[in-house]
Amino acid sequence: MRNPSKKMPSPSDIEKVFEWINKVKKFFEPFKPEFRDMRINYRTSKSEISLALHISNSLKRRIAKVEIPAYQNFVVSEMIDESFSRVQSVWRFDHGKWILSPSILPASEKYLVKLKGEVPREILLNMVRIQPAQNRDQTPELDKYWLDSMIRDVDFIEQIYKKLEIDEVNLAVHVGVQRCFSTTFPKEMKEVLEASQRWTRAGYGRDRSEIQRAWSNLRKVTGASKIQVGDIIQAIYELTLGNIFAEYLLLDLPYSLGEIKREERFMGLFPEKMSVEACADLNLKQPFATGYLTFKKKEYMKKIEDFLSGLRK
Amino acid sequence: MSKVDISGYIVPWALPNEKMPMHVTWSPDVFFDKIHVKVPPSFKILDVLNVDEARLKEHEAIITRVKSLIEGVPCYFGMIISAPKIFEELKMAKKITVEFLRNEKPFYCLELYGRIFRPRLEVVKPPEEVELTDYLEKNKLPLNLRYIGFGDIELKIEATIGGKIVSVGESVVYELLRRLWLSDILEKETEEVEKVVDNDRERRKRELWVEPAYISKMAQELQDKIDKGTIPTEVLDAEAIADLKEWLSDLKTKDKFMDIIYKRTQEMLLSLLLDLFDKNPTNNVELKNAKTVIRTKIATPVTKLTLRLLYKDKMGNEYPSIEIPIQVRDTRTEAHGMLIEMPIHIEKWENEPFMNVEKMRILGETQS
Repeated sequence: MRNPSKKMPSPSDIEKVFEWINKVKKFFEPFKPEFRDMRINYRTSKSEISLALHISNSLKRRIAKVEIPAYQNFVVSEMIDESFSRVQSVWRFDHGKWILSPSILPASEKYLVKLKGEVPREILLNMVRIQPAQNRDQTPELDKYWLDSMIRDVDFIEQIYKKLEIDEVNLAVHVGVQRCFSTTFPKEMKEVLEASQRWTRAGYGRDRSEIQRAWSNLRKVTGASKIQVGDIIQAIYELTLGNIFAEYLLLDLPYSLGEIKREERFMGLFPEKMSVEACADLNLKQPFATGYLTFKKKEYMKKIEDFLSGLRK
Repeated sequence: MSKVDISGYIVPWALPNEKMPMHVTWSPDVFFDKIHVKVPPSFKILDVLNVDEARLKEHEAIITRVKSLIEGVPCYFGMIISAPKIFEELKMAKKITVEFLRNEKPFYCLELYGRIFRPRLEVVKPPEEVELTDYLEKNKLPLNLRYIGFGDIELKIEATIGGKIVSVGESVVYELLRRLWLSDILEKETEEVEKVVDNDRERRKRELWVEPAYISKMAQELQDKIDKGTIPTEVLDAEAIADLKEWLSDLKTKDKFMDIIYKRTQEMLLSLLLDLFDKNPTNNVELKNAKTVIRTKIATPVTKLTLRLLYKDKMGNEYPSIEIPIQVRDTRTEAHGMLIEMPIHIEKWENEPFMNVEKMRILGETQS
């Protein structure tokens, strides 16, 4: 019998996740710290842990100051008292240390302090396995990509903390868009481009009559078309903005839409594909997530057509 | 077999060599000694997830313990499989069995299907003969192609004469270089043309803006190619490359070179936009080079050339290439040894992709 996966997280991985948390916890020992909740954001590699503290009035009088070095640049993000009110301006950051003066705390004895830190990327990769389909399935209306994410080892998660949530496990799906443009742009546009190219090519040749022919051809073609080359660029630019493109995407639960980016070989011109992030939250109760990302390509192509006919008016 | 709460999932389609994740889940009241997973010989087990103890072979896994059972947490294991060979069939479904055993006896058997799809390119009526004439513009090699199956492909077309590759992909970078070089040596001629155009207001409308970072990148790429001497002689001949290198060795001309690049962006953009049209001739095919041209100097009469169509899918799987032998009728009367320039032109595309493979029933598949 053997441990079958090479990628399973090891006990030392757990220590790495907890490294800064354990160090911080020691400084809170007089206040009987208890872990309440831990969240790891897969997308940003940030972790957030909630610690319940009991700070009695006598302790407030006795301990003048708590100073915690900012291990791995952790941040005290929030402190809440027993009435669930946020306790403002009690923590300050000075010379690489987080400093609290218990004497200035309000009347409450029970507090929840939230700390934010980082989880090394390689550990996150070992915690969760993600994969989108390499190739789309298609219908005349839609392109579909399957999505699959799974916690590699629930034991590991349990050892970290039972209530651990891994938020925004993100998969980047590459949605091809070039063909949407190339098949939607009317033939006249190609003619405008070809005529422009013929003319510029002729400009570098020695054949004077070809220069004349190319120029009159360009005037003829551009005269017949209301669309200019700049319009084509404009259409591509506007229709590949993330917020516009998002309208043509559907995601099955538990996935939700994350960041949308252009993927372009020729920077600043037009994207070959759109990189679409699909995010899911995983936890011990939902250790895997499957579903589809659907691109409504027919509707998107209709949008391109409408955009272009708007230019022609 | 008694009724138990066990279910499984496998991704509904994959290309050859693509990892196919699957998982099996069951309720905590399912007690077993082992789970026996068998995949067909054409598949391979790559990994298992959330498993504590297992014996893994290439085509089977015996799982004896999964990770600890926590209250309220589904019991599950994951498995990653793939089909490492490229099949002849365009679609294929192979059964994967997951048997739960207690006291060495199976009490539940789950069946999942690994479904693999692939693309195929075909030549419709391959050209048998092509004529090589003195009139360069008449020389054209037409092709009719058909795409069937599943998976977007990238197609590269190559032509060989006597085993030597004689075709060049029309790289934008090379195209730009050629134009830049010519634009400098023919400066006077171009100035004349510019005058005609500058008087025309229409030109302003066609001026375009291009990301400066892109132009810098392009300029850098060009310079690197010149410095390393990796410019194919089909783009510029050896003499022109030597001249260009010498010209660029002067710092002042290097600046001038950059200036020209910036000035020529509109034209470059036109090439790129035309690429957009030409590179995606049909819904499932992208051409590696928007245009492929046979460009070579041949002194002796040519009698035969070979076209090779190479294509690969999104996984990078390369499919068997298609070779088309073509007889060349060399009717050139002018001195042999002149440059042959013959664009390979795809006249017609027949596109018959599989639609909705998720729901497609495949022979031998009994899954509901």
